[in-house]
Amino acid sequence: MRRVLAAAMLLALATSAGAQESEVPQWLQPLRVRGRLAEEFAYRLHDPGDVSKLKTLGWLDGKYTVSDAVTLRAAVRGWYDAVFDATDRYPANVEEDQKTDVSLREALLSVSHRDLDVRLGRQQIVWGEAISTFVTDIVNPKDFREFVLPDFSELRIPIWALNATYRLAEGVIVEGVWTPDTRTNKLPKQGAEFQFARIPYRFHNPAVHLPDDQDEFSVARSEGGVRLSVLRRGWDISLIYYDQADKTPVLFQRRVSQPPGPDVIVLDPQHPRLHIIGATLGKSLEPVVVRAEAAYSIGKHYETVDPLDPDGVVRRDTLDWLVGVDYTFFEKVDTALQLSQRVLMGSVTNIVRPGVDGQVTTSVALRAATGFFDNTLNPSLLFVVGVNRADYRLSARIDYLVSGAVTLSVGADIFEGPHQTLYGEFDRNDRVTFTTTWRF
Amino acid sequence: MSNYMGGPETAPRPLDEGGNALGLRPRVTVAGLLLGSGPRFARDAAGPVLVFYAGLKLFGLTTGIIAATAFGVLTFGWERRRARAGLGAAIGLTIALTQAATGLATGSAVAYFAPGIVVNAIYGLVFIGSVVIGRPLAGVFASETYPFAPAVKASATFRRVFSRVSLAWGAYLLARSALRLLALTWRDVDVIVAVNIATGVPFTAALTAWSIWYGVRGFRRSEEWGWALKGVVLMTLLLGAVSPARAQQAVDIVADADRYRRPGDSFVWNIRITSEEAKKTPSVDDFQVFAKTGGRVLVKFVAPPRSVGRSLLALGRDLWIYLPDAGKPVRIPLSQRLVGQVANGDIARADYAGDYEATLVGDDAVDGLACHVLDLKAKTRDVTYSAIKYWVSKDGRRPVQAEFYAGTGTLLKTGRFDKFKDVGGHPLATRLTLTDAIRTDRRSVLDYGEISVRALPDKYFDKNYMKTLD
Repeated sequence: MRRVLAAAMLLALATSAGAQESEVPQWLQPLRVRGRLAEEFAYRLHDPGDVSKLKTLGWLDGKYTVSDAVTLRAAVRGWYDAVFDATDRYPANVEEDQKTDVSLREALLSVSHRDLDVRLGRQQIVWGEAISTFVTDIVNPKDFREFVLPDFSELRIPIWALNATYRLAEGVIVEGVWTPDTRTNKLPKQGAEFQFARIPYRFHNPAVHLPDDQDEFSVARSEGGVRLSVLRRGWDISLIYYDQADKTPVLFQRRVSQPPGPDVIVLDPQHPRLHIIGATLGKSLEPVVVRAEAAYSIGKHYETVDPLDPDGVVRRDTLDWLVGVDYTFFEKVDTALQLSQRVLMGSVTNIVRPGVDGQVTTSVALRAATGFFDNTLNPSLLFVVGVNRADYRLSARIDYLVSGAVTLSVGADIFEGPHQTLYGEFDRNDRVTFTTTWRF
Repeated sequence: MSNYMGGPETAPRPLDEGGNALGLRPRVTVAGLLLGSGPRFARDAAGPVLVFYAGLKLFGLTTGIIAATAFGVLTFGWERRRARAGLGAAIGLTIALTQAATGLATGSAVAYFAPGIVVNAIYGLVFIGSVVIGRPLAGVFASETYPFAPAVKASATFRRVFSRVSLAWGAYLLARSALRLLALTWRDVDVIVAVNIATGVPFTAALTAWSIWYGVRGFRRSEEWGWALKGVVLMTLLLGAVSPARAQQAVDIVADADRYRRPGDSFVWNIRITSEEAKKTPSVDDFQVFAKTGGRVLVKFVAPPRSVGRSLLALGRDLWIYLPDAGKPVRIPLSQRLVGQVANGDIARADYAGDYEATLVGDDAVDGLACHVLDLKAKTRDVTYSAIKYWVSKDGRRPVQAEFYAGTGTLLKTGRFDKFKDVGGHPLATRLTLTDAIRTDRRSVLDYGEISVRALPDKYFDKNYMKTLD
């Protein structure tokens, strides 16, 4: 059924786009429609080498300008991944989860009055200065079903929210966000291509894993925060406070006695409340651009494999921070170097989670991009290395702009490192990709 | 160039604001240059290693690493505060940070030195590579040490002399890396440090001295610039300082010329950029530019479809790009390329009078049109070009043509302003053609189309509003 819906949606996309080109009535003239279609192919290099993605995607977004002060926006995305029909490598639950998807990416009413702007509806709210990282990009949950490989605008799961900004003075903005939409990160199912490593519990007792199925909407559990942004003499600084439930579930344990049998261990995924205090900074010191971000999460919990721990979870307030510089070499090669750290406040003994390699987990990212033939051929490279255990991700891509509307991309994603590290857990998921995108 | 301050036709003679040929204010001597830059070279070459070694021996590995890293950060900060590019210190800092991360992660003093060797070798290869691509790295360092005029940096002598110096440095750095790698196999910190110092400071000092001596000699012996070095004192005496009245005249000329590139205090302007290259189909990009007083400019990408949704915001010299894929505005430098030969600053900034110090250096005729010739030097580092040579017509003070230079002195591109039209009683240059300095078949034509002069809300020029305007 979802497949049919996806096909119908893609058909609707093409029909709507075609309609735009013909003569439109007066009331439709404030409507702007655009979209894109893409075919994404990925081939897994490691044994068993095989096609791992054969996805057809469509996006359509429209904006209707009611007046200078009021606009309406809507965007939808749909996909069908033929790899689930072409191969039988993935279990049924993964196929059900990833084969087709139709989602509302944006449904937004924007109202503007003098220095106040209000946006109400389904949206992405993006905070932070840095590229390719989520340190202060905390408002929207993320879709990790394809790890962190898609564009970040695709990774973010839009939420229903009220977002208001008020311009206090020249260069001084205060922004408030409130949402009853308490969606959590979407994680890959067991058996998926980018399934995360499981926590290596060693229970002698039988264990039961409860589903993570809390309601997506709850006023009682609503989330929100504020951001104060100041731009002075080129220094772009913002301060952040956000109150939310942890978007990644934490597996709390409890023992349930079932006489005459042994006790059963119940693994209960919960989302503890987090208070996040953060700050961002951006400054151009021509020819270098400097960025920095920090977020301190109060109330962060991690699973522990310590058998003596009563609930299998320990609290470790966590500081994530990064500093990065951008520089263009030879007026041609744009590079960005970023150093980031995750610091857990307390012992990390028995904490096993990808991305936590010690009390201080350090990673360095280098991004380089350039263009040839008047920027019609654009190679780019992203290299991220976990310094603690030398796991790394190397993603290379070449985009060829066939025309103003069509882009062909060839790329590779390589992962290496010990298991139980963020990138090492996917060291058998190296892949090459080929993507065709048509924009209209 | 018939009447360019009376200089001979055979040799170009760009003059700086003090009237000195070559832009040389101090007298050029090897000793003077060595005393000026030698200590800085020695500090960058040996400082971090000695500080690390002292910290290691006195307090332990972590202290050594922290001290060496702090030394690198302080040195970089010192250079920046003196408005130098601090390239040597920046490279030193990069090495120090990489070493610190490795040393702290591995807990090994031996491993601490490994990244330095790799970076040293890369550094050597970059020196050699810079010669291959025709932009010798030694020239960049030389420009840090000495204020060369843009035209000097663009000259054949400059490239020749500093290509040879770059090759010498490249060979030295590769050889040094090999020796340091050999020392690393001993796994003895004392040996590693000794080899590091022995192959570092003495050779660096000697090679620095040779580089400066060879550089000065190369220019003195060159037909292109020899005359200027010999005559520098005489030229200074003859021309003297620029008088205040003449300086004000230069500022007025540039400000008047700027008006031909700005139709009002608040306006929307459609711009089409056609990028051309020999044997290729031209590509066309359309933009809508919203501009307001105070250097506020928002550029919306209108076509082709692959660019639609992007926008660029300039607030003075601060610049952001909004990329739909990232979903947020991202800070970028003004000098980054927008499309074809066009830098972001070419359409986001039209305030030469505000951004550059202008000096009236002579007269010239361009296609029979009598022009003032001005040297514009960037007031700060935060602008698109380090220097511009600017031709402005004497009649009406219209912009006519320009040469745009990078900080290294390399001529990046030339520009030509034409198609002047009267828009609402305001004469405007509606075409700017930018041509690559090396590949002259590569050019971008900026055609300024429909203009709407109207009051724009201040919020249009807020980075948080970029997504709303998409």
